[in-house]
Amino acid sequence: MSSERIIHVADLRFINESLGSLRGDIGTVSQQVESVGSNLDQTRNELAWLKEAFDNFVAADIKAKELSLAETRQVKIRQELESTFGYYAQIRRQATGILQASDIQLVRKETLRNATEELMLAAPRYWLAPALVALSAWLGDNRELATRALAEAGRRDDEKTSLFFALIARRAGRNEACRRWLDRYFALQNPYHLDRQTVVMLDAMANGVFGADASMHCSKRVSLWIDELAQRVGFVETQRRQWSDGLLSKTPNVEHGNRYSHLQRYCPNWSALNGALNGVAMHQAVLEHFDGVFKGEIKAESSVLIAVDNLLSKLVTRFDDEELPLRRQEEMCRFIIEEGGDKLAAIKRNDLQSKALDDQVDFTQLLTNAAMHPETSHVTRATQRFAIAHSRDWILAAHADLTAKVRLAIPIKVQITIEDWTGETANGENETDLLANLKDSIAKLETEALTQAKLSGLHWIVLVFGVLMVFATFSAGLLLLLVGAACLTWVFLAYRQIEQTRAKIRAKFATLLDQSTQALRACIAETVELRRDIAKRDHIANAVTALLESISPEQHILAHHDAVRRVLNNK
Amino acid sequence: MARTIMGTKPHETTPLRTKAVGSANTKLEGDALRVRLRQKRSGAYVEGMTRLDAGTHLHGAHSALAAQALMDLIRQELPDVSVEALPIGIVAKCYLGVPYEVHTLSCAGCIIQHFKQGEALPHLMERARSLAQHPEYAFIEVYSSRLVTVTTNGQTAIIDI
Amino acid sequence: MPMFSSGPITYAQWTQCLDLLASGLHDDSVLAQMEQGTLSWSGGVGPLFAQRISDEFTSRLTRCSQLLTRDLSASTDDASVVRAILNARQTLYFLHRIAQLTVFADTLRMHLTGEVRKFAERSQQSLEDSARADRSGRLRLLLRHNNLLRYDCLVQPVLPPLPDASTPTVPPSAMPLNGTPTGARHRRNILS
Repeated sequence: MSSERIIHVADLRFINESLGSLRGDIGTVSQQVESVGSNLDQTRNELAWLKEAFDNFVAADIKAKELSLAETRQVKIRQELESTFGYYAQIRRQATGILQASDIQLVRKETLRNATEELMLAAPRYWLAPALVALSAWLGDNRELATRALAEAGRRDDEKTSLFFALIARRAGRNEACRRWLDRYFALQNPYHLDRQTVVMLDAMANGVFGADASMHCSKRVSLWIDELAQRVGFVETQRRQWSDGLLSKTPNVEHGNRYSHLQRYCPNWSALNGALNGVAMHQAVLEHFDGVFKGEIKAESSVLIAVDNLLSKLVTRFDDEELPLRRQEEMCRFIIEEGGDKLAAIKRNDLQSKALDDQVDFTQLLTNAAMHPETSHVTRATQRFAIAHSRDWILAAHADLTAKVRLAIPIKVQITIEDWTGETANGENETDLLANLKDSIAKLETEALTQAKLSGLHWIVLVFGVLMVFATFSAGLLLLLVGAACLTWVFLAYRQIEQTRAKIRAKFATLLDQSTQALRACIAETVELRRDIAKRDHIANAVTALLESISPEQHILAHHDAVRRVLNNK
Repeated sequence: MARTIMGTKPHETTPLRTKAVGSANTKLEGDALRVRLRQKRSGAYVEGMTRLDAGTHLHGAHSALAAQALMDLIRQELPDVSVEALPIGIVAKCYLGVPYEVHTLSCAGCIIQHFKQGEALPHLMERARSLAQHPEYAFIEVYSSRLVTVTTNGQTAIIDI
Repeated sequence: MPMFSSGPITYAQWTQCLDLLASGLHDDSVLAQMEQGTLSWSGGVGPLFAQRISDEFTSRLTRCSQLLTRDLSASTDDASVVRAILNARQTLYFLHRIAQLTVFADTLRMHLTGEVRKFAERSQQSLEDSARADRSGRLRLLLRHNNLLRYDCLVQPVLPPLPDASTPTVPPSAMPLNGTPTGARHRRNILS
């Protein structure tokens, strides 16, 4: 049937798109509606306003200064890194350069040897230089030199050297050598004090770079480590704390005063409310984080060679402890810049994830860092998945605790202070009562002000005197009449003036009542919306729990196997 | 850092282990206590606590009996926790309806009380009030230095105060 | 369910009302409640409320367009096409009634009414455009006779009793919109 087919292709897409305009237009409506109500600014204490403005200015100024300072320092630190450790960069580049050159046999062995020997001279103390000499000697079949160079590299940094050659052996397809280097590497490890480069091993394992047996070997070792750590009393609690910190570092630091402008102004505990809102917003950030880690397929490198080369260059560039102090400073500057100059917030964030740049961590902290701060621990998504899957139960416990803590921090009452009046509400349910109360309080003030504006004792005396004078006119003459009339006129004028003052007072209080009522209504409405907002964000906690519960470690060990190199795992 | 394979004793790197062995059968403390309190609560216990509402609006002897039964339930649930480390009380949402908001089981006095909106809870219990009203939690165990939230399926979360 | 004897007054009550509306379970009674309510539109409250109600409109219109798309693509004969359009029109009619509530501030009322109308116009236009490819012209006729834009006339049969049941009259407001006074009769034919 023709109609059916045509309707089928009917382009209704743009109906949906055009709905966007509905949202846009509402801004204009809001403004128009808002202009109906007038402002309470007039009645606000000018001085308080001035002080607030000044405080804001000072705060903004400090932030701006911190921001520009951080930016300058970041550049300086980078320059320092470059100048102090710049010569390492050349050596690092050569590491993979040598391997790739020898792959395609473009460079003569003498050139290789000369180059590496020069590096040796250029970089005293650096472990990679003798390692490269050993590599070139190996490529040139010079066993004696290779052994000596290896001994020196091992003396300078045994762990990195072992891992480096394990990866190179893997690259060359010599699985036996790879296994032996790995054995040596693992023998050097202590799960309580691991160097940061251990993540390279994890990365290799999670991405399936190692061969089947080496992979098995690694995962067995990882399980052993976790078992060993778990023996320790307080282990679970430490885990939970580590993860609490990790999750907490995802808490945003946003000022919601724009949306809740009235509460910001009239609510003394606004900062607590704002904090609570940020606290529950953590769930969304955490959900996005985990979702981002687990969503989509991990794209494996097209060959083992490329994968190993990436790992090698990561190993040689990212984990040199000499650079750490500068790297930490650089990280701090990054936080200050990200927080827009808010140094306190930056310090808080830095404290929460500073462990990612500790030179030695225990294995589970390493997992936490890998899962929560991939950018500082330099791990791939596969490793992140692996780390999260292995830490699932601890994350769940930490998240449950944190959720409860955040919920506890939500203020039960919202206080409202408008001029001299104060009131409080939980969810805005007592709007009518509060309005009545506000009205009473203003009426009381008005009465007080009105009682002030009345004829004083002097007025009454003059009035009586004037009347007496007028009566005395009959006996004493016209002069007294004039005096009496003057007195009465003065009293009358005073009375008129007082009437005017009273009218002014009434008008003033009428405005006050009107504006205060509006402010209160707005506060209540914002309270209701705030509670809804908090509840909505709080509800996401369930989604986080559900997501975490759906992850199982077994799944992710398998996932990396078949995501990467099926051929290797056909056992 | 490399682990020294020979020469040192393993418990140097795990100083906590020796302590744990000594304290396990006497008194749970610190992290060990926390681990114990974190354990999932049994179904019977959760059910008993959530039924706090039913029948406890009774007065006098009946109320005291009900409270005593609940106290026994707590002791059964946490048999290895020493008496001074047991909860001070339980705070839970009250289903008696408006104006009642929460009720408490005070372990010291062995009494069950229902509280209206705006009515202040006894000292230490007050801080659990907002959590008790959260739909996610069945009830809150109040300890002297921490709160433990319990969901209907017995899952716990600990907040240190 | 419905909770206030005299309609919502405080913002908290209005929120309950809107939540109930969002649930979509008691549309008519919620509307009745809202009709009786009062709300102060003073600064601060208005924008928040306008945001809420317009969110509700957005979600309902989105759903409406999704349903219409789905129903039309699943339609097998003329009757189901008509049914899909009638359903959409029912939704629009309900939104139109909400938009007309006297308790709303004038600007908001105008805005909401306008949005519903704009949505209907665009949808109708889009439907007619796609029907143009149908050489037989039957689909176009069908769409014209069941014009989406006539959602606001649905109220007519309810209010005044029809003067003469034998000659169905098209309410004057519908005339300029579709230009075919015979539309109503056609619709009836299809339905019956």
